[in-house]
Amino acid sequence: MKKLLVVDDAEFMRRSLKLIFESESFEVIEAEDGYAAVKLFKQHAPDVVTMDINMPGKTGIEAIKEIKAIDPSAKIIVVTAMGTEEMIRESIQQGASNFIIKPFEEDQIKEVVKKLV
Amino acid sequence: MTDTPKLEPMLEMYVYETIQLIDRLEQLIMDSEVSGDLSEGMEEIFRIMHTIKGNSMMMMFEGIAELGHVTEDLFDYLRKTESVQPDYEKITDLVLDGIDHIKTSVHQLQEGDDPLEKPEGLIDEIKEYLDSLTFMNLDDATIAEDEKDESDQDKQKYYIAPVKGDEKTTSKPPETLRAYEVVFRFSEGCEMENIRAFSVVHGFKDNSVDMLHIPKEIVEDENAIDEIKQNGFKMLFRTGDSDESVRAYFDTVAFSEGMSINLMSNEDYDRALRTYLGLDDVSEDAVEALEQSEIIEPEIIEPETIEAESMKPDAFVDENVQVESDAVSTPMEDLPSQVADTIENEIGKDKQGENLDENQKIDVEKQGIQKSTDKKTKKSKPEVKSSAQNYISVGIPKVDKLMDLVGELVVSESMVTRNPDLVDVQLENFDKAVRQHRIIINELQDIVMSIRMMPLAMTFQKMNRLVRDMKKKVGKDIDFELRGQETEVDKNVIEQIGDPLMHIIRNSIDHGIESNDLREERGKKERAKIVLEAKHSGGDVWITVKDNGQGIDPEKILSKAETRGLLLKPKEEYSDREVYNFLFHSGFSTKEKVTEFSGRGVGLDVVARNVEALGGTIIIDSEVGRGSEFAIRIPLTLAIIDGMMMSVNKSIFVLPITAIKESFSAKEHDVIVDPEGNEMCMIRGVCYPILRLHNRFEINTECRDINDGILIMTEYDGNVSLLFADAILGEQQVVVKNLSSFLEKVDGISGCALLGDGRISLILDPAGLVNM
Repeated sequence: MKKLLVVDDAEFMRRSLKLIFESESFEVIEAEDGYAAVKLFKQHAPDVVTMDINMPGKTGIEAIKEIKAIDPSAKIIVVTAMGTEEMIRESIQQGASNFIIKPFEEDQIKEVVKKLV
Repeated sequence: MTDTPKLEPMLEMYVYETIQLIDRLEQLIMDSEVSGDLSEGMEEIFRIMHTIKGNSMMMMFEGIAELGHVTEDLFDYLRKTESVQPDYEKITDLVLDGIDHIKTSVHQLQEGDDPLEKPEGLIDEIKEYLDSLTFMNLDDATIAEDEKDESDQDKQKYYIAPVKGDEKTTSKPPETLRAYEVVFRFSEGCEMENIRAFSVVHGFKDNSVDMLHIPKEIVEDENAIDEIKQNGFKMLFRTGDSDESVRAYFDTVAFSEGMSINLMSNEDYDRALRTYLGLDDVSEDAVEALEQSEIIEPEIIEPETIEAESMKPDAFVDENVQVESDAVSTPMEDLPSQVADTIENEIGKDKQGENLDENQKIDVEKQGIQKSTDKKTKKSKPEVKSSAQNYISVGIPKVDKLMDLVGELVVSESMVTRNPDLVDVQLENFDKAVRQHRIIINELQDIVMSIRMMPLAMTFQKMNRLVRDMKKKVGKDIDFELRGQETEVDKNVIEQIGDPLMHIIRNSIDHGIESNDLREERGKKERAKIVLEAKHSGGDVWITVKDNGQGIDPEKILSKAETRGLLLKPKEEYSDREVYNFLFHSGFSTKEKVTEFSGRGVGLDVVARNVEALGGTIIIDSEVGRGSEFAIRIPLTLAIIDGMMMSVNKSIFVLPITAIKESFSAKEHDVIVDPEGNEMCMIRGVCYPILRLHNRFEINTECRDINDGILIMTEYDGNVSLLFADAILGEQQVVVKNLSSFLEKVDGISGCALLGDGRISLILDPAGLVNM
């Protein structure tokens, strides 16, 4: 079974993604901030990561950096709201594989994730 | 909750989280209003609005999302700007209005309706207020335009991708380098095509020796978006990767359409490169002359050195790719459209996720709980992580099941340790083990019961809001104090106690507290004050509302009762307490005018009923001119009680041991019958009434002679009764179950219990047995 690590400080977002991907036979691990993201990434070695880059504390971008340092081939999808081009660009430069913009449809997020695994 | 429609899981989660956020937000904003300082909560308020905005956007609730957005902007500005002097009252009002809108919308969602229309007025108001702030701070304008600090240095023009020291490409012998042309479009509505293109380019950077793409400028130039939309995105590159891995990479590009991956001959590639760069031949110098190109190791492999195999595009037939042999030789400006037409994705949302059994959840604190007993408790301080707390959600059925099981466990433990087989046996080690066992089970019982316990804080905060709104409306200056918010009660109580409390407080503000003028007239110097307090006492929770208003005038009440023919005895014989109880009669109201808030006379009787439903009682105390106090006593949920079993013929009754003072068998000469036929018994010089249980509950029993049965002295609230039963059967711990709602409520019976042997017993309620 494929593993997905969902990183977002909003519980609602984590649960929504969990719902969506568990029905696609993914094992979903939740992290609520950048620290947990890196820790859980090390622990579970997921196949793909979705990362909210608008989190307080350790930002998504820092987490991306650290995860990429642990595993350069890590597949990270950045989740963000409109109007954050600069952040998206920086995430990509730090190694994010793709991005998706809120609000997104279920099919869109599924496509993005599945394409990477 | 009654019949709320089942919500699909995502909506339910949204509702649940939003309610939590809103409650927290309300608390923060009210606290800051009181303290006059927004700075502490500002950061958290900002984050809450941000989260609400994000969640609402996901659910397509535009009204709430935009409201969240403008509020977030406001607080973003406030938290970043030192020099601004915010108008706290205005901000509080704005935020509270926003909270109300969201609350109402969420409520509608719970009912299965749509949320409210976008609150245009409020949104504009917030925007205007923010504008007024920024306008005033124009000199500090640098703050308003902060996001522009992104590096202009980061401009990377990907004319030619830099070659990293990558073993894959550099150590490969030149002949294994292949040139590709990749063209594709992004699907309709995927947004930010230029940045998507950038991510595709960036992701392959390390795998290619050199690369060029059309359009050239993708990051800086927003026109690129249109260009890509119209003409697609084209990439040409040279790579040492296998064909397989190249195709695998481009397979991961999400939202792409019409992906075409073609091999090019090296000559064609060079030609393309030259045309692209506007040069005649590719040389190292020429490349270096390109401004702002980031070439770390300019290892441009000269075309001449490549032993190019002739690789004609026709040689490769890939079903997924439309191969056009002209493709490569056409000038760059004329990109052939080899892309299939986009097909609109009919994205139907599947809203039938699995429905949770209950539409309610309760949060369970992971750490220790607060107990009012003197047992050692593992009370760890909750982590102060503001909005992210250590909670997990548990469905209520699970908790109920857990409680039932623990109840049964306690009873079964009792059955083991009080087993008749062991009555006369001395078992020292066994006793030790039993004691230990007991301790553990008791602790388990306490913790499980406390799972459903929650602090009254939230409910009290609502009262805060009520008082604030009301005192403005009626124009009275009132201080409102909360005490004991952290006192915990069963979840059920939390749900039911809100309305009664609100009514009592409304009464206090409306009728109890005098208008400012009147207070002055009467020489009342101290400020009008209402105190809402909660505390544990014995096995009960006491919630009191006390005010320093004008008190309740017994005369007025008696007069009204008289006119309604409610008096059973002369006025003078009524104690104050009894007079106040008239207030709980339905239809009773001494207020001439019916105000918006109270005075309709349907309030206090409903309050009394609600309190009764929780197994509690309500007591009024008052002094004319000084103030009033409404005290609600609610027993803590005792799922398990220590009871004394007694029999009346075949029926078994259980009386809580706490209510029993003593028991004894009567002797004839102790029993007296008064002129009205009431039996009484003289104990140590005092007469107590006898209550024959078989009479009371109409049970046929052989045992009618007072000498044959047993008298049990029962006390409640200062009143004593002697219950007469056939026999006492012994002490037993029982699990209390409520009587089903279809059974009529009987005075004197508070519930039922399942005994260890399967029989059912009725639990006697002392309150109903002593008030005769």
